[in-house]
Amino acid sequence: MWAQRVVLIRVLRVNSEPRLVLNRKTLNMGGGMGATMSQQVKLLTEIARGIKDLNKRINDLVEMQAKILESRQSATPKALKQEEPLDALTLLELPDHLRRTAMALHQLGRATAETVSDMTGNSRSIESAYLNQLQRQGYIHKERGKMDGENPKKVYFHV
Amino acid sequence: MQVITIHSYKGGTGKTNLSLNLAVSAANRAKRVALLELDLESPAIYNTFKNTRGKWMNDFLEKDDVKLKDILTDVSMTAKTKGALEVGLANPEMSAVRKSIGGDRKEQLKGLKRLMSIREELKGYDYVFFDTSPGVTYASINAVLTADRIILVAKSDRFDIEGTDRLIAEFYEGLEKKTGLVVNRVLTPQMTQAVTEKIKIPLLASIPCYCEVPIAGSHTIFVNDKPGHPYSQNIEELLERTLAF
Repeated sequence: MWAQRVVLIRVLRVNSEPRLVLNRKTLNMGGGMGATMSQQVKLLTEIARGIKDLNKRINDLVEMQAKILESRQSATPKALKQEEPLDALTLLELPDHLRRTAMALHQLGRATAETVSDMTGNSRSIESAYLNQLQRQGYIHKERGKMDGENPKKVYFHV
Repeated sequence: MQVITIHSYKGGTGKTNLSLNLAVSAANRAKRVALLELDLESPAIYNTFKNTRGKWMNDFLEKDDVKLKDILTDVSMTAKTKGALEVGLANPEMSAVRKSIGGDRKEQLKGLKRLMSIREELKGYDYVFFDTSPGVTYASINAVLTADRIILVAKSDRFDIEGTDRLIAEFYEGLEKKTGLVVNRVLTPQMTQAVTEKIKIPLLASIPCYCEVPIAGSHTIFVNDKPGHPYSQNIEELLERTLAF
């Protein structure tokens, strides 16, 4: 949380302040009633450039936030891995949707989200989200295909 | 292949007798059947069939290198079945019973994985029956989780009715398994009514209490020794309904 706040403040201070000053100055200069056509065009061009610039910075901030969240999520399962065996009692304590996914994986042994979705009837993207949730909680393992007959480009889950 | 688990809330409901007779009855239909004893805490089927393999269900659940074919004993001749009947027996030695109770969560997870693997190993079998321990033990939950269909056996006494109702509410709901009820050792029709008023799962059979069944003893297979007896007919009907529901 603190790291995120620090990053946000730094971006605003370093990047956005000179732009704002320039815009305010421009507005004072060309915003009056007696402005000529060329001054108005110059003002509008300046505003358009400013909006474009702001858009770029907002996109940068969104990307930065996404990277921070991603790094936090990928750090979590490392700490939990191997700590929570997906035994029968744990299965019973899982919410219904995760239990269904976990039981399907138990039956399959090792499978992609697509294979699990064939068994549960859910869409591949939903099963992928559920399997990743189970993996983050340390119940199952996730790795690229490396066994005989597996596609190395695909992600496989196993208990 | 259909995996059918016979389970109950309390002990003494007649699970083992039902499992044994259902398995024999299924094999009599010229099917390939396996009966696996998962009541590791109080093994009993060794009284009916001798273990000629030297390995037990306990070994299969604990060790990756022990396969089911290493432990399954063909009892088709002894049981006089038309089809093939094989049994996997639980080890009755006290040291094995103690070990089955004392396993940690990782060992129980291994047991569940091994049970799940039987679908692959027993491809070609028509039916696999699990005889479980009563209540919520690791062995019984593993058997329930692995099953396609579950037969829940209850007697008509108040303790059993209340406990079975709670078992369904707190354990079975959410598992999405086909579960049916057998009321066993019924003395009057009103007793079955009392159970079905409280327990809201499909009733597969209401089996009266026959003194001939315990008198016949554990060394006989009732459905084959007395095929014309009402109990044997009850078993046939129960098998029919279990496979149909």
